[in-house]
This record gives sequence, C-alpha cells and structure tokens, in this order.
Amino acid sequence: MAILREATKEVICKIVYHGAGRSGKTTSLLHMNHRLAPGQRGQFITLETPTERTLFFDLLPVKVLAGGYSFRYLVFATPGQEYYHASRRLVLKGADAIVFVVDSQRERAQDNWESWELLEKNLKELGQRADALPLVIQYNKRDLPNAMPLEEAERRYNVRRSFSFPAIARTGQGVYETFLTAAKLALTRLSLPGAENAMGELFHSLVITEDDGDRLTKQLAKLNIESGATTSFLVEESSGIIASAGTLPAGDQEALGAILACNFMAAQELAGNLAGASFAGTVQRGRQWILRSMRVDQRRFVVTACGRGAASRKVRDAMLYARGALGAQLKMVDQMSPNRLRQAHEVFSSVTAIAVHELGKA
Amino acid sequence: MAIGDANVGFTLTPQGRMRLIRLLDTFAEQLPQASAFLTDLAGRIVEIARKPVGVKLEEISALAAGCYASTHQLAGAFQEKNFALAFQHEDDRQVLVWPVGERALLVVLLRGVSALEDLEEKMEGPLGADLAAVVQEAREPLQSVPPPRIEPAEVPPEVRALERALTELIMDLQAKHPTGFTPEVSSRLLHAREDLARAIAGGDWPRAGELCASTRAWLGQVFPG
Repeated sequence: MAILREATKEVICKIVYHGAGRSGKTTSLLHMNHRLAPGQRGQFITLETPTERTLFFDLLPVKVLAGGYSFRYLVFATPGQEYYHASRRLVLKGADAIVFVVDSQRERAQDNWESWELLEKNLKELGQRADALPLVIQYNKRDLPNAMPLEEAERRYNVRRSFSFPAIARTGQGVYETFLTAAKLALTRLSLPGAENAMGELFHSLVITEDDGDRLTKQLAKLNIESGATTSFLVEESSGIIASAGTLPAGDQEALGAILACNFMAAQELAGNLAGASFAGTVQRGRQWILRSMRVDQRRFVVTACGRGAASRKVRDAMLYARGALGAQLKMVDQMSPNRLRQAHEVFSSVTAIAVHELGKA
Repeated sequence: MAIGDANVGFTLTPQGRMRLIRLLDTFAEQLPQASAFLTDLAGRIVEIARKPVGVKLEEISALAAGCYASTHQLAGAFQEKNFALAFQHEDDRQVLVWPVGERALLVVLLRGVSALEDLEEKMEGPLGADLAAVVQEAREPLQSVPPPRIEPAEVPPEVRALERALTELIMDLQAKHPTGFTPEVSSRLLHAREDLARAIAGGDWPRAGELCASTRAWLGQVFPG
C-alpha cells in the first residue's frame, strides 16, 4: 500500500517480484543493485539460506527525486520454494505492483504455472484483488537453448494481457525495463481518479500530512519518556516506518522499516499457527538492547528500543497506553485520507512521468 | 514437505542425536507446558522433544527461521551481534527462538511469563554450552559452492544510450496510445526486445545498435508523429 508523506515529501511504493524457485527473482534485484547509482539505491538485503535460496525476502530500496518529491520503491523478492509459502504471502501484503518472473525453460512450465496459481491464491487470502493490481511479466532465461518460444509463453502465462518483457537476469538484459514499467504502473494507478474505490479499504491511510506526522511523533516522544526507551517507531506493514522519535540507528531507514514490518508480520503469522493463541507482540533481546513491538491496529504496530536496564513492566504499560493514543490518531488519519487523496491525485498525475523518467536514466 | 537443496550440512551421529534429544528434553522439562526443537537456519527441523499436538510444526519452523533472519538484520542495525526472539500471546503462550552456534536455532513453545530471561540464563550456562557443542560436532562443510549470480555485460555507453532511448520511447508510446498496442504490435515488440537482449548478452554491439534503430523506425511507422 503506497503512502504519501506530505511532511517529508515522500511517496513510498511496494513492488514485489514473485515466481517459481530459481526463476531469477533475486538475480533480477542483484542486477538492479549493480546498475543503479549509489544515490538511487538503499541497502540491498537478502535473507537467504546458506545455499543462496531466498528464505524470507530480498529487498532493494530504490530512490528517485522528482518534482520536489522523493519517490521510494521498496522492491521485494519472495521466496520461491513451497516450504516458505507462509512467508511468501506476508511479503505480498500491500504490494502496489507485481512482477511475475517466468523461468522460460520448457521443463519449468509446471512450476511457473503453480507459482502463478499460488500468487492468485495468496492475494485472495490477503483480501487483495489480483485483477486490480498492476502486473508485469518477465520471461527470464531467454538465452537458454530450451527456452520455450515467446508466443507459447505469452499464451501460457499472460492471461491478463499484461506488459511482458524477455529477459536474461544473469547478464541483466530486460531486467531494468521490467522494473521501470512496474514502477510506472504502480504510480499511474495512484494517479487515476477513483483509485481509492478500486483499491478498497487498503487505500485509506495513504496520505499523512505534516500535522499528522507531528502528532504521531509527539505521541512516540511521550512513549519514550514514559517507558525509558531511546527510540520508538510507528510502522505500517507494507510501507515501513510512518513516524519515529528518539535516536534512530544509523543506516538505511527504508530498509529498517521494511525489516521491522516483515519481522512483525512473520511473528504474527507464526502466532496464528498456534491454535487458539491471540498475538500480543514480540520481544527481541540483545546484549545491550531490548526491542518490543505491539500491534496498534490492523495494519500498524509500535516498536520501542530500550536499554537492558529498563523495567519490563514500565515499558509494557507505557506501550499499552501509547497504543490507545496512537490508534485514535490513526483513526483520524484514515477518516481524512479519502478527501486528502483526491487532492493528492494532482501530485501523482504531475510527477509520475518525471519520476519514471529519472529512474530511466540509470 | 521437502525443499530443494539439502546442502546445509547437519549430519548427526546416533550418539549425537541421542545427546541432542536429551538436551532438548531438558530445556522443555524445565519450562511450563513446553516443547523444544532445533532447526537449521533454513528452518528445517533437525530434532524435536515433546512434540506438540495440533500444531503445524514445519510451518512454524519455516516462519521462525524467516523471522530470525530478519531479527538478525535488526540486531545489526542496533550494533548487536544477535537478538534472541520471543513471540508473546495474550494467553501467556510464547514462542522463543534462540541462535545456537551461528548454525542452528532452538525454538521453544511454552506457556508462562518471563521465559525469555529464563532461557537466556540456561543458554548462557552449561546446558547452552552442551547444545552448542552438539551443533558444532554436527557441522560439515558445504558440499557445493553456488555459481555467481550475476555476470553483468559491460555494455558500451553508446549502446546503453540507444537501449535507454528505445525503452523511454516505448513507455511514452504506451502512455499516449494505450489501445495502439494490439496483440500483433505487442508480439512483434516482444520479439524485437528478445533479439536485442540476446545481442547485448552476446556482446554483439553492432547488431544491438541496428536492432534499436530498426525497432525505432518500425514504431515510428506504427505510431506516426
């Protein structure tokens, strides 16, 4: 779910690469990481097994400045293997566009098709309409002798007549063009009048004004004082950090937000697997720091980072109080967002083309 | 449920396995209504003590591994080597995940409060040292080294510029003439892109330049002006 933060003039979108295991999703992100200039990309993160199979997700934050706004794309790749199906669904949550990576080798036809069915199933489970989501198909491994002809690939996989690209991710051909198209479609969708209706409830907290940002930050600062925390974050599941207060850890904040979000979602999913258990939150404990997270509402949660000396009970009580206050603030943001969104359409309409043009220069 | 590559390297001798089971059982017996299992970092279960009923253990294991991998990244952001992880439930049910020897994860499911601190104590004591030793002994080297994932072609700047200009032109035309991209036009474009991708991947720069030019010319005919 995209977010427009008026306070910081940032637009955040999520693009997810999906496809069968070993189809070339991670390789595509690696190539983009290689091609983009350091100022255009954040920290590339891959959570993989010792044999380089994606375990939870790969993430490449992509940044571009256009029309006075900073466009930030969180580009994810899902794990392809069946064993990680629960994690894959989490990564898909809140996607603004999907790139479906097809392994063109004839013997992988069944795997591709199963992956496509899983994509549709997962989106349905998440309450997202697959047909309302921009989709781009990347036919990968076109250099291999056993690649099926493009006509056959189109007939098999491009059932929605989406944009499609032949690609060789290993050397990078066709990879960036695929991403550019997905990036453009994700923003174009937001600029269309009536987009909020097409996207349903997920669209509601899209616009966070400067005043919203101030109010949320004040609540988090209060939480820091009352709990003894050094830092607090308010995080949205698909777009990352909405507001923060205190001393932020060094490094890429987009990546940090995405990791916090995926981490929390996985914890919640895991809790759901324990029959009858209702999820309360997580505690992460290191030598110096303790991170605690707690759900605020359906899509957002709060995280505090405290030193080991902070009293657990005090932190927990302060978080419970903050949860109520932040929840009330966010309810107001959600109620106001449809009106603000209509005004924001102008922003999306005018700067989308510039943003994509800037990305095209990479 | 199977996963593709069994290349992580967790071979236990029968004695090692018995020792591991005993250790896991000791962890579980000292905590209320607990079960404990060891997984590798990819979430594959190595051994279980006191298997819980009615729980999808493999799914929990895969999620715990994914969650731990992201937790490990968070620890790095906070300048820590590792974080232990607890998922807490409102009915005091908890899942604890603890790294063992940088090679495995101990996952404990239980009911009760403050178990993370209890477990921390145990892991830092003789029980944790024994578990780490079992993991260390089970360790074996990776059986193969995956090939490098990317071998980017060193495309000359002039070819890169032609390719970029063609992409921009196509995106521009798609925005201006969305209905003009009929199945026939899309199909020919797809083939043109494939020829270009193969030419660049093969380092045939003259052909890549020709293909960019001929595709531009053809698009100019299809979408005049």
